[in-house]
Amino acid sequence: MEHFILKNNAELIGELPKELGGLQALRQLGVYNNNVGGSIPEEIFQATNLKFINLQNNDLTGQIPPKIESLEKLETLVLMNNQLTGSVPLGSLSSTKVSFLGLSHNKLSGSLPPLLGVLDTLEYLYLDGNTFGGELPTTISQLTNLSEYMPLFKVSLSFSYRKSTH
Amino acid sequence: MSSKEQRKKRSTPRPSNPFDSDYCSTDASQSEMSTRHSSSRGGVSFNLDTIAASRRAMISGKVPSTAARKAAAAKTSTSHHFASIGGRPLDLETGEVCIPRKIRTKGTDPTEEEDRKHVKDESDEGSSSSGSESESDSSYDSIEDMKQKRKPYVYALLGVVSLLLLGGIIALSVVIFGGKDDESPTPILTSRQESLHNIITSVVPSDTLTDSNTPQYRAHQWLLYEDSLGLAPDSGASKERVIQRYALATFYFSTGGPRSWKTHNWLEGDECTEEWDGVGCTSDGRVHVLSLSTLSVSLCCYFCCCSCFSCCFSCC
Repeated sequence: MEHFILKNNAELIGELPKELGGLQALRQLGVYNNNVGGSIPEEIFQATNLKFINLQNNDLTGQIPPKIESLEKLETLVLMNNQLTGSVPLGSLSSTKVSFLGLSHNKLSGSLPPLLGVLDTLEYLYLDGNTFGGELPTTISQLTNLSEYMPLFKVSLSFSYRKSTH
Repeated sequence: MSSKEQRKKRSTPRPSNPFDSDYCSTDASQSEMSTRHSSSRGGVSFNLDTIAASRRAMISGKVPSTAARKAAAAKTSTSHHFASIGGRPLDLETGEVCIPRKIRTKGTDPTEEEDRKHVKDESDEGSSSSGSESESDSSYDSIEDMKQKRKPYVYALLGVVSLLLLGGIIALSVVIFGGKDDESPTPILTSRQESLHNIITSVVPSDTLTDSNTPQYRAHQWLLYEDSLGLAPDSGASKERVIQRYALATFYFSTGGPRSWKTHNWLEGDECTEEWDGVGCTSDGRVHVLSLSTLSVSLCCYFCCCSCFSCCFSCC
């Protein structure tokens, strides 16, 4: 199994099964626009061939597991419109190749540490609709691959993950 | 006459006979055949004395059971109990002469009431004889004599029927009450089903297969007993193939299955060649894509249910 996608099923409830981590060939995990609850089981990050994770528009709670660091091939992480709490595991994400990070409209908190600058593969960053405090780290200037004029913290930002033309 | 020829003859259409419907229920052509055959086997002659003798033998307690009668009737005609009296077919078991209705009369014989009862009893038991026998023809005096001796035979028949009824009740009781002793009998599996079962149990915790509410159990039942594809591990189907199909079925049932899925081609035929909705396969039949969108009940159905409760069943 390389692509597992369940989308647009309002009747789909329950939790993400940790057994998804057993799908060693899995490259794409898309469980979005459903009503899946519970937390993200860290076991799914045992599927180390994952490149694309989209869990947006569900009712996921809890934190983003730091184990995400094991996904060395990860390129896209979309967790928008859930109930996720805690901070952004930037340290873990630094060991991935994430280029699209969409975390808008969750309940993430804390400050963005200077570590943000190490995500040098980032092209698209959506963090709006959360409750971050502090200041924007200056290391963001190191993200040379970010699309030009990418607005970061405007509440009115769209949470669409489509590639911006700006 | 070989048995093959006999079968052929029996299957031939019944000859047109104006009295057919008045004869005893046994096929007239069959009676004729068996009579001819009996005589060709050495001229066994039937007369009323031998009939009376056989009657007495029956009265003396050797009343053949229904099954025995049927078995006897199924044998070749050498043991068939039909002969003829004066050209009319005669059932040797009952001694009844099958008489055209037009010469029957409503006799005033005091035994007639019992005779009717006797006829009823015999028809209840599935006897081949069901015709009326209240003849008043004087040429059948000896038969009238036999009727007088029939009373004990009637009681014997009643006894047999009662015993059969009693046996039936006991058997029914055993079926109804005896089943509770063994509520979960171990199903007998064919070798194919057993192979499938062994593969499934190698990848699934056994406790999920004992609870009939789990999707794993449903998928197990489906794969073993309902799957039209009939995977046979002993003749070609690989273990991976079985597990893949089992996993898909488990996924189907765990997400509502036929209750909530809009698509209906799942579990029908091969998952790859039949292109189950949302399933993508590699060229060697391995499912590598599962992409399902809006698999639950549609908005259309919601509206349908809200506006017309009765149509829920047709659209949901």
